[in-house]
Amino acid sequence: MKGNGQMQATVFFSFFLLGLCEFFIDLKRTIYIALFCAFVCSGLVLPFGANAQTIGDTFTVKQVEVNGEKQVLLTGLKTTFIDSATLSYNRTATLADVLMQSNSIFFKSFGVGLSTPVFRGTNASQSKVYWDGVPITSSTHSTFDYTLVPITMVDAIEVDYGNASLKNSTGSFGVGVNLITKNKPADEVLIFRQSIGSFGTYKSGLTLNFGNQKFWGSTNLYYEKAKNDYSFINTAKSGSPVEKETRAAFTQYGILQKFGCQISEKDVLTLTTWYHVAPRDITPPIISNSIESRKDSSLRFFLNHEHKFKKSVLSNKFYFGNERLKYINLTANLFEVNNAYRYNYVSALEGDLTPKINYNLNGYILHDNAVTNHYKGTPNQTRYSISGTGTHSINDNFRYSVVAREEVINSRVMPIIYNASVLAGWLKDYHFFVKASYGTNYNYPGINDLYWVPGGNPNLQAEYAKQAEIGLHFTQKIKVGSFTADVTGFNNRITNQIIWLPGKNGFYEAYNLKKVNVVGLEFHTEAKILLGDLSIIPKLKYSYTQSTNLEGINALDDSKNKQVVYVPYHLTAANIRINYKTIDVYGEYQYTGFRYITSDNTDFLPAYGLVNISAGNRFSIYKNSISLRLKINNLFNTNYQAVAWYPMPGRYIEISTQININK
Amino acid sequence: MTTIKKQLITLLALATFFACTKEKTPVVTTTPGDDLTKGVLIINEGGFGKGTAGFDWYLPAKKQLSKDVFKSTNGFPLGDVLQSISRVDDDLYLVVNNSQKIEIINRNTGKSTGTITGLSSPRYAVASGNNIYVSDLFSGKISVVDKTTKKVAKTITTNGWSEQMAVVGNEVFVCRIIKGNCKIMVIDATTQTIKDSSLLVDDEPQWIVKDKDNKLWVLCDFYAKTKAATLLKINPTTRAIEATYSFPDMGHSPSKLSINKAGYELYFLSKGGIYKRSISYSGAVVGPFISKNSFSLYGLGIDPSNGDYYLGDAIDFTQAGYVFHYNNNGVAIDSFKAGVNPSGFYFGE
Repeated sequence: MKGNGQMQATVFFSFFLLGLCEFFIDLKRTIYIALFCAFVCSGLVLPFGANAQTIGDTFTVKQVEVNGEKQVLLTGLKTTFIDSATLSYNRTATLADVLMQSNSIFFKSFGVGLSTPVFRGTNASQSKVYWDGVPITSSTHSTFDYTLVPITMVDAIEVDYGNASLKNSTGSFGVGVNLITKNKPADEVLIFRQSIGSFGTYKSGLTLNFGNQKFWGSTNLYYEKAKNDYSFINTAKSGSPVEKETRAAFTQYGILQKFGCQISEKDVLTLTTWYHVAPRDITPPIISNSIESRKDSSLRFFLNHEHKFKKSVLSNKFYFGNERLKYINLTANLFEVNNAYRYNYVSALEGDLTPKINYNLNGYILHDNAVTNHYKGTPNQTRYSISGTGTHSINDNFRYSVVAREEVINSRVMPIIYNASVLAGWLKDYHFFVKASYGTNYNYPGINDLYWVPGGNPNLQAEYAKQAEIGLHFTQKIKVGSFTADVTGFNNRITNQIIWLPGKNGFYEAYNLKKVNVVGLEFHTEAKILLGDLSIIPKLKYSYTQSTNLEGINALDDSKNKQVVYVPYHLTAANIRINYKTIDVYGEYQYTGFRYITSDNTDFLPAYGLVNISAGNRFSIYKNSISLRLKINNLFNTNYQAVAWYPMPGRYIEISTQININK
Repeated sequence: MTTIKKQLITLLALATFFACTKEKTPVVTTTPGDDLTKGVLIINEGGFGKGTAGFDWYLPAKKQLSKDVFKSTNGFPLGDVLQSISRVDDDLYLVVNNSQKIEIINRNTGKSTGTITGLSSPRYAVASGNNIYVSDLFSGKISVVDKTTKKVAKTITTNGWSEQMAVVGNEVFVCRIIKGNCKIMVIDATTQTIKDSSLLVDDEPQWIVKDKDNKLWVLCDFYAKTKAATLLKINPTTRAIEATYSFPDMGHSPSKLSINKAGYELYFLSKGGIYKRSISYSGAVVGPFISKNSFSLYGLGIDPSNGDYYLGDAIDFTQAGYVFHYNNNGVAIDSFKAGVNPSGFYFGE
């Protein structure tokens, strides 16, 4: 068995090294950075002592508990979790806010109503969002608006970096964000939430849980409204006057209804319906006076059946989603309605083949179609996709993993994509290890890229990426808690990147023109200090990203070898949470480095730093509780723009309360 | 080796180095007292929604460039998408499409003298009598601006997207685009009403110029590419299409129709560079006259004072573009970096 393992490891390594060789030149830089950070890490951890734990003989795939849900980690790839405890402090925040707190992500915020991510130097369509593993990123424009998910809808968030999301689908070069909802009955009978904030912001929510261990249900209602009439300095006008935003009003409301049934000891069935409506202004840049608004509405059904075998779990998911966008442009006298429909069936089998081999088989059929005046006919996309993931532990010092996925999209057989990764070190409890991975991925063009009239290009090819990661992880238990440090260097090379450029008639047209190389480094460290009723959790995150355009359109193109627009080199977030009994205090500093806004890097937006604070207390009355929270975002009223000509809000103050009635 | 030989070799090496070095057009800042009419204004359209619109001022005699003159002169940015510049008396009307406005500047100093608002998506402005006619992408109307009050006094319904206009006598000829129902509409400049809307033309007429014989030339390009682009010759009196010249293949997307000062030679951009065509020539479209293979040829201007050509290359539309300057024989004189998306040129006569 041991010999077999060594042979498999040798084959794996040959495969893995072949891929890494392709990246050797670019990786050199990454390795240097990683080694440098390893040095820094070792310096940081020395005071805590190098107290390696005893290595056991039995391998268990690392699993993370999220309210009873188990998530299998791929080895060698980076995945982070935002658990329910962290989310509970952020019930009035947007998904974008929460992700920025916990990960190195820059969001292109067009005012307050629209946010799309720039992660690891990739663009918005190269990151995907999933709902319990089912893709919910738009099939038409290939992006997801991170302001449209109330955090109260979500029980945990899984953030898969790079190829870690291959287990769900293709196309996430940057990040795959999986919104996890629990499939077990909750302890609370009733939860009521209310908040009042600056700029005419009101948020209300009500959750009603009912049933028993056999049959249960949950009704979650929410309503949010904001005038967003914040003041800003209008640098587009003579004298830079202070003005009030008048075109940023935002409303969203919806209901999420869940029913669950424990059919037998081994079978669970859940049915979830989510109806969401968000009418809102489209904030124009301050150099324009256009009057535009949109109403996004969506209806989603999700049926999930899980059957537990002795050593595995089989899940079958059926998903239907209808996303409807009403777009009104009073300036252009335009009124348009776009409808997109998604049907998805996913089957996944996950388990342990042997105590040392874990597997995950996944297959899905996904059908998208869309209706709008801008298409000729009703374009559709059908994908048949299968994937297999295997993780093998040779011993407690060495582990490797392989994932491969094959798809047929609209009768087009796509190339097999894969990822191979390895962990080596003291793996027990993830104490100290080196990790490395190499893989490929592609991002198939969205329906708009292919069929939008005017400008869509049916001859577009899929964007293609080669991705490599290397890093170190260290976790040390100390007398009063624990300390963790993690550093990851990565290199993504993206070819055939799709861009829209103005054609001769002034209409934008889609082309496969760009070739981008991204080299970067992510560093994360945190400590948990527990002193009786007092807990202190400081965290520090830093990322460096160099996203370089490798090809020019012609010899005059000065964007060649320049940083891609809106990719900040430096992102830093430092935060600290202090809990004492029922009281918690939180403070964070987020730094976003300068971003070039022209492709020849001649113009840029300046860096900015924001300080956000919050404090809360929870009062218990019998089994029930009331919590109060005060939050101040942008404490120092910093004037900044994340995207050029879109001024962001100044100081925002919010008071919120949550009442929990328990069983 | 003697010292003299060493010095000669050094001198030769230096001379060779400097001979091979690309000459750079010096970038300077405009100063009070500069007269903008003495040079060429480069219309930098800017990126849509990016607020990078502006204009540069180029002095060909000195090969000297002043960048983003509007902002440096007036202290605030021009806005979003500078579509066109038109002269009205001693003012220049800067039509800023996505800022829904026209900025008025003194044509000599560049100083702002006013702003016309209340527009939807303005494209071009032409003057006739005491009025200025402003075409529009979205509103389905031509706005009539009173020259004195600088305010929109009236609108004329076109029921579609309007583009370039030409004035012949007391009539304003407007390119009006509705898919499958494109027209050259005629406005009576005395009553500011539609006088004739019967002249149907090929799809998407965007460019119109008047020649020395007061005939109109219109470029039509079928965006849907169901038919090759066409160049039309129109008699403005009879409203008849006198000639239609089809482009040889669908690869042509002609744009930026211009005419020389004497009014007998047409110029436009199309596949592979700048095309030139006499108004009396009746053969097929041939060319180009000046070859320039680029993905993004975007601007064309003919200097009325000497017939020099100016060509704008937008490169990737998100960076500073290039301008190429040729003499009237098509010989390259100069090239330099302008602003974002150099889409046209204004010659301050």
